[in-house]
Amino acid sequence: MEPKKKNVFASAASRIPIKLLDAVIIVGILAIAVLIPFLSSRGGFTVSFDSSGGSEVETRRLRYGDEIEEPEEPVRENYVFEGWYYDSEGKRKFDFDGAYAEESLTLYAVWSPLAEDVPASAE
Amino acid sequence: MSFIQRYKTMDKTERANYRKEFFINNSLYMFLIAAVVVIQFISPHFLSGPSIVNIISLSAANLPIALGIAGAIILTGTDLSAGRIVGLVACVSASLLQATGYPNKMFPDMPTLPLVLVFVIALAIGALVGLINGFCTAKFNLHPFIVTLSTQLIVYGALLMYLMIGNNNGQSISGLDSSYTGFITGSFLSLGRTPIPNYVWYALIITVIMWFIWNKTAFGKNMFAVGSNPDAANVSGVNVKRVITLVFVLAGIMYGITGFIEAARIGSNSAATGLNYELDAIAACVIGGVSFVGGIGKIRGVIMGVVLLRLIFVGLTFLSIDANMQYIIKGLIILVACAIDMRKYLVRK
Repeated sequence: MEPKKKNVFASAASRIPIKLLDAVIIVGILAIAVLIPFLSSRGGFTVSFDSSGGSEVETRRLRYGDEIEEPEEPVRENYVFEGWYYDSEGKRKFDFDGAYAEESLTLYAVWSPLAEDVPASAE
Repeated sequence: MSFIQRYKTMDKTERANYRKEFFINNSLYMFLIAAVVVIQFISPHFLSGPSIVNIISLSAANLPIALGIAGAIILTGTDLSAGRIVGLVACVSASLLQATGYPNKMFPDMPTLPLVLVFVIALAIGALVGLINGFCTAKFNLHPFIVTLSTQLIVYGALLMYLMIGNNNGQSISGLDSSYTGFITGSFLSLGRTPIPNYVWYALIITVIMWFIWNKTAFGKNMFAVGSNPDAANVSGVNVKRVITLVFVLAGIMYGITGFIEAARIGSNSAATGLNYELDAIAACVIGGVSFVGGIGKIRGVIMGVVLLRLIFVGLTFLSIDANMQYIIKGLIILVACAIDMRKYLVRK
């Protein structure tokens, strides 16, 4: 005699009618079909600039493929601006040349302290 | 009788029924392909040379982990620890292969280790966690969901502790040795002007090996037997506990390979590496026809699922849909794929 199939799904599955699954499939696909243009129109990537103590730089909202332009250099008292980096520790510099938006990004300003015998430049 | 002969002998209602079943069973694929065509129309660079290489590369990076998890799904289980294992292996591999001159090196006095050694360490870590998963599932008859949920958390804790040792103090690990990054992300072949990274070829080799294991070894046949009917397999003389354990060990080895490749691919590794990777892998498997009721799955299905999923998500990016919003679409796709899978199972009964 063939042993009974001891499958967790067997008992639960027999109670689900096929028509219900058909409905789930159709509604699901329609939901995806509607959501994609909806999310696309409300979409866009956010490029934020964390100036890490310097003057504020506005966050940009871009669509895919839009060029990321280098913003105006932020200022911070007694510090020299070193550039925009992918991380706050300053390990990977961001290259604006040819850069375009393909994902949401936060860029961090990295500063180096002004040497003490150099008078702070007046901005 | 071949399929064409069978079709010819069907009467009108049977044919209509067959067409309806075919349409519903493949509705998700048809929809996704249609979406790809529409996206290409809206944004013509979507299927351009560099973009295709990008899609293939991303698919290749996700393929080993999907192949590993597919084994667990065929056993009517799942493996929630996959992502964190990838993260742990990636961070360990990265920490052992940092460039010698790098200022933030985790182990400053260590010379550059040979790649083969670190690769073996990566596989060993993956296999060890896989062994724990498989052993607990097989020996204590616990559901893989619970077991792998626990190992997921334990592995994450281990990863957080690992990142604190040496010179690192919880930072992300970068500054990898160029021999490592060259081996993984370097390239000797290009499509047009876009280089194809080496890990694409490694993923292909791994896929062939997995195909061989699944289809040409007794272990593979036993895996499918245990997945579809563990009691019948047991009666036929298959050591069910051993098969279950080995499937999870094999999955763990796959995650180890993924971690080793991933560390070099993304360059900067932290505790967040690997987070939620198993979701994409499971989604790809379900879309590719690996059934949750167990015992059913094909390598070409997994490949198709991975590529199709990646194609869609790159496409959504082209439509400027933010990664956070893509989760909603991802969830709906998984839901529809599961409904289709369950429907196929019910119709068969």
